[in-house]
Amino acid sequence: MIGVLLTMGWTGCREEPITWRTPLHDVIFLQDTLTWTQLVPDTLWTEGDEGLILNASGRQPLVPANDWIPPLDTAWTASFELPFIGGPIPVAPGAEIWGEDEDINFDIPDVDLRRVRLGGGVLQISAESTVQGPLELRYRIEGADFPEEVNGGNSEFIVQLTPDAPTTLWVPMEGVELDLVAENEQGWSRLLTSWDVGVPASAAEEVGLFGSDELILTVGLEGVEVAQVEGRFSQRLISMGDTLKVQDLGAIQSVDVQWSEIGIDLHLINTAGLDLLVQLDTLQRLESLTDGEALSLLDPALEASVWLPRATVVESTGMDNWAIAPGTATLSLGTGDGSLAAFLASAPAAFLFSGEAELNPLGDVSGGYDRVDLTRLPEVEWTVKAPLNLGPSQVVWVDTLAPVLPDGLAFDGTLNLSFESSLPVGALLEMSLIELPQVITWLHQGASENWNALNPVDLPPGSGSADAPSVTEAEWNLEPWHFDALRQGARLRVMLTCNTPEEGAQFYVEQRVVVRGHLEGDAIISVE
Amino acid sequence: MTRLIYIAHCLLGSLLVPTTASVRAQDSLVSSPVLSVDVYAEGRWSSNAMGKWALAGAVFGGDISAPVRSLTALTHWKDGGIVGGLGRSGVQLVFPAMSVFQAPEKGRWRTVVALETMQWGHAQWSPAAATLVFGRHGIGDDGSLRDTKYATGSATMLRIGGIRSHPGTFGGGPVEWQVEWGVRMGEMHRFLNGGTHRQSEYQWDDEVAAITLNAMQFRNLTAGSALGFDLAVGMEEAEGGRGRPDRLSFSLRNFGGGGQWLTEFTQIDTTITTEGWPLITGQGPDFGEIGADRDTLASGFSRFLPHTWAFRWERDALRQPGVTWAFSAERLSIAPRWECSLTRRSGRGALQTELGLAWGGWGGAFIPLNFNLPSRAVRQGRPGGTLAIRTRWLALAGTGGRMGLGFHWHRSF
Repeated sequence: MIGVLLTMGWTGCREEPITWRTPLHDVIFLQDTLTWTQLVPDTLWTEGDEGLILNASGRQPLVPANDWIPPLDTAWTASFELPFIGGPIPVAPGAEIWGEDEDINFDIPDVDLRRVRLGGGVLQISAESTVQGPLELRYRIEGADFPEEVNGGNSEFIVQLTPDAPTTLWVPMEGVELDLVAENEQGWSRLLTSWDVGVPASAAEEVGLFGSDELILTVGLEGVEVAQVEGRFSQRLISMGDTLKVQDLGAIQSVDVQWSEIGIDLHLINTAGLDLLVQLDTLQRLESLTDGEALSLLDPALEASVWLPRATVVESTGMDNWAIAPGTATLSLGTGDGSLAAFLASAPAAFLFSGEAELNPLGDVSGGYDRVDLTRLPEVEWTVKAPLNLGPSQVVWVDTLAPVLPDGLAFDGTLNLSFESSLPVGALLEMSLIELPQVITWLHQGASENWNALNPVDLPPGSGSADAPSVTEAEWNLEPWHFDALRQGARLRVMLTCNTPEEGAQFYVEQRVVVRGHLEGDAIISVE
Repeated sequence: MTRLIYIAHCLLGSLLVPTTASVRAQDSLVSSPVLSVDVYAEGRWSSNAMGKWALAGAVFGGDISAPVRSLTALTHWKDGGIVGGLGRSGVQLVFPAMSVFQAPEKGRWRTVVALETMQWGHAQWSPAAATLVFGRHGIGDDGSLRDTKYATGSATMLRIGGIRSHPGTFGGGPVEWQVEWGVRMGEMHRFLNGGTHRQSEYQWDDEVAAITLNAMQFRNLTAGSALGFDLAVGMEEAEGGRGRPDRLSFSLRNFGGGGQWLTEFTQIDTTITTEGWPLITGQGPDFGEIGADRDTLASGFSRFLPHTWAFRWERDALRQPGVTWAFSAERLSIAPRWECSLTRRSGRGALQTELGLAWGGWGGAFIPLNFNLPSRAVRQGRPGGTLAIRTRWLALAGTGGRMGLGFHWHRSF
């Protein structure tokens, strides 16, 4: 009975949670280190005698692949009849009934192809006949070099036709090399094919033909992807333009930087075996990848033509193993009068460039042996370098903390904060709770303006060495509602404003601000 | 009848002493179909560190800061904390012996049928475990969570047995021997058992917050069967003894086990370390890492019932009619120590008191204070009813907590 009473009491009589206070004496609650490398990944920084240097870079194709060689898809369909009336006329096994040579011409403006190697696509051969007997279609591609795994490397395909039923053969074209030069070099960009339809030599008996019999044949190249080409690229202009996304610099958006020196290098890499004359017309910065305004860079280096020599492409064991020694050129911005400093006052979301590239400006100097690997197209690599010598503008680090607090835990006491700064400049550190739940904001209506914040703490300049930081201590009275707010989604914002002197200051990687917080008071634990 | 009640006391426990020396049996000319009925309910708990207010707070909720501060301090003082408790309730009927057997030439048989339900629970914890939960942190301790474990259970069982009494001699004097046996059968409803392994420890100071937790728990998902045995032997000096009759008894109660449940096995083996919540990344310690691996064991487990060894010696006082001194020692298998008591029972009136001093079990010293309220018929030596109220109180302040409350109504016919 007593047990029953206890059980009832345990489960039914408890109308409020069990709570107790656990004394905490100088126990760790917060610790972190604020450094430049936490704002920007380490890989973007280099350090030398000049101090910290921002070194960001990215790569982008200079010209899209389709601007070099358009799609080569093609197809034809024809119907063939017999030149007599009546029948049946017996045809002996092995005799040919229909046959033709087909010359497929890839008409590409300003490009004459000598050889191509395909990276994908299929050859479709479809035939249907009314002849009431076994027939055999033989289709050949002259000058085609098939890989061993396709039709045993044979360029002649044999298809057995069934009366009154279409028959289709799909041949994968990946890895196929095509010789597109006609006999005696009469024409380039031409694919010679031939076909014939007859009675198989292995047929058991003759096949009777009627004058009304016909053959419908369809041949097509679909989804063809060109991987490598060799030929003659005539002199012409290609438009360039693309967006260079600036990644990993999002955390530095809040840094208001006055660069004492900054430069952008556009490194042009020509992996194509033809000459290029590149001219960059405009370079713009985008504040946002979606709807940001574009700010154009003014720089004398723009609109100047850059000669980009052809790559040396050597073939030893086939087109797929070309050895490429790229030709390179560099376009440096920010070396003369211009607006680069203002252009990069903060890190952009992306760069937008546009310009023109002139192909083979000296004409056909290779004798029709220009080689382009469309899987390794010419690229532009951009590099931004900026020694972090900050001007008098205040650098502001803003970041937020979203601590994970277990349910049933609150605190009443003080958060003893210590700040160790090795920055060469003084700084103002502010901590506050943001994104507070509405009910807590409502409860503090009429309170002082900074009811949700720690009083700003002035951090004196450090020695510049991480081994001898300046130490500042502060105290924040934490009340139960602070923990409640954090548990309900509020975040702790830390804002550090560097008081950079007029003459600027130089920073190094190891300079940092270490924040530690220890709890002194009572943890309030509740169990439902 | 006194002998029957005396044996019943041995079997039902130290809190259930429904009899007084004044109840002397008188054979009836007309045999009653039921010789006696006992209805009882008792609960008791004790601890070397947990006070009654901490337990009350756990039951009823509210702020228990002050009691848990005391709990932490006592746990450190005594190098570990323990708490345990037991609750029982039931009914027992004693019948005349069935006539299928030939009545013994001397002495007689009685048949006992009882139904009892019981709940028990006990726990122990290390000083560091108390600090982890209740503080105070930052003052330094070894952080070891060793020997922290808990167990609870409940069972309901039907007991059937017999009482054999016959006269004899002991030390040259006449005595009355009593032997009682019983078989318990029933169901174990619930069993929960868990604890930490030795290498579990934590550290939370001005440098780091870290915990290595390796713990496991067994919890039954289905009910299991239970089987137990009782055996008691008693001796009472007859015919007034040497002027101060002695009564001795020895009993083994509830010896057996039960189980074979479908059991849920839970294990936690994790390590969490943090030097504080990073300000920049916003990545705090992931308490979700304290994931528990659960498995269901179809083969089940069996556990011993909380059995009791008990010894009791009673002696009537010389020249003080109605006064009896009693020494008892009882060892409950789930308690860490023997529980010993020395009590003095007095009075022949409508309210008789029993007061003494005791020590052991899960706690230290305590004071048993009991009241017997016999009916007029009992006081006049005839069959009747007696209500007994049993309590226990803390003997020394600051030594944990003790509490016990039991009601026992006995009716003889």
